[in-house]
Amino acid sequence: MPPTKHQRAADRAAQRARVRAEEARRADRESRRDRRRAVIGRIARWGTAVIVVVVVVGAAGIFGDRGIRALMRPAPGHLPPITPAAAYMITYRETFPDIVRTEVDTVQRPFHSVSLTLSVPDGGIVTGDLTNDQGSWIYSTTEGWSLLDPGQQAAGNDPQPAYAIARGLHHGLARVLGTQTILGRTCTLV
Amino acid sequence: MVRATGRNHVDVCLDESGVMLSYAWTLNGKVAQTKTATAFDLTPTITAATFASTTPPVPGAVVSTGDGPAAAAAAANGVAVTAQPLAAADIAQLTPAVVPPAGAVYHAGFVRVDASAQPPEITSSLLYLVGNELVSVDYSNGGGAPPGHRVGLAGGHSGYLQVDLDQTSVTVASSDGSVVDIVASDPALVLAFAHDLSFAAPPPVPPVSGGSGASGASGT
Repeated sequence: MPPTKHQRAADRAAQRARVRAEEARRADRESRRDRRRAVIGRIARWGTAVIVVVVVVGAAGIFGDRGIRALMRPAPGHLPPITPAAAYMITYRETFPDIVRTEVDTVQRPFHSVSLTLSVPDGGIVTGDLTNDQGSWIYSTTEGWSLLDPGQQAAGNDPQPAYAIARGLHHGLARVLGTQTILGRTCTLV
Repeated sequence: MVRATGRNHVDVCLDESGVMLSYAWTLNGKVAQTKTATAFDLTPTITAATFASTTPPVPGAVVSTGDGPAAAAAAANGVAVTAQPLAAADIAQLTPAVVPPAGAVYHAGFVRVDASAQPPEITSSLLYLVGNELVSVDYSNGGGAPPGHRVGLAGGHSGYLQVDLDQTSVTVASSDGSVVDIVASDPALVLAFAHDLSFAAPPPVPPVSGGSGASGASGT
């Protein structure tokens, strides 16, 4: 039986996920090593716990206890009106167990995007995805960009979860937890 | 999309632009991945070089035209895919036919051939724009049970709705074994396209002398 469209899409997703899977395996190895250091690290973790408490108390001081309660209170809720961006550039600090990366996404909807995952702290490229009018590309550190799937298509690495979340809220599959402030912008935590 | 549990869930913080400013994935009670925005620009400087495969992604990075060893290796491993524009005559043969809902504009059509599959997999894709939202309608030779929840469509037909955080699809299986996938971010758009599908038989194919071209098989 020929592979289905879903299988083909899954194959492509698997190919793109290979680098990240390697990261996960490395994270697992490092995690096991870290467990051996657990006893030594216990004091440091308690120190971290104290810092977290201080941060929460500090946040209460800054935002007021109403804000903290709103963050903690589960409720079905709904999303505020969303005005989809035509283009954006966003940089994320991305963490896996014991691995930290930087992800830089530039998107021009609906057809163009480039996403780079960079190592920390040297900024070298770990992996990359590009979508342009020629198709979707994947980056290799030794060979540069390679065309994976030709033809115009939707920008990659441009999740638009608001639609699915709104539906999930409507059907009781998600709930609004409150709001947060990130980079000076208020966002809705779901 | 399934109901979250204490041990398995995703927390996202959505900006008013719809962009995620934070993301945290908890798997089996442990945080598996987090992403937190450290810079965000809704008016980035975008030039012709921004999305060019010939532009170094970062200073000093390797540049490729895409036809190097990686592409050759991809072909050898059976992931070679080619794409050609889809002719209007081929679009007319696709069934069920798309009847774009109000506000949707046809943008382009392609036929993609994945030569690694046996027999080669042929997918015809029609792209529609609703504002800046892209809806892709993909016809393929299908096979296998489609994922998702059953939804009723016109004329007693049915499709299968799959809603994920990053995209929504409705899969419609035809009696001839072909499959149509309607894919977009917005479930409402996907369902609108699905409900408006026309299952009427396509017009007969006019006789063509000298055999048919590659796109002649695009209606699979």
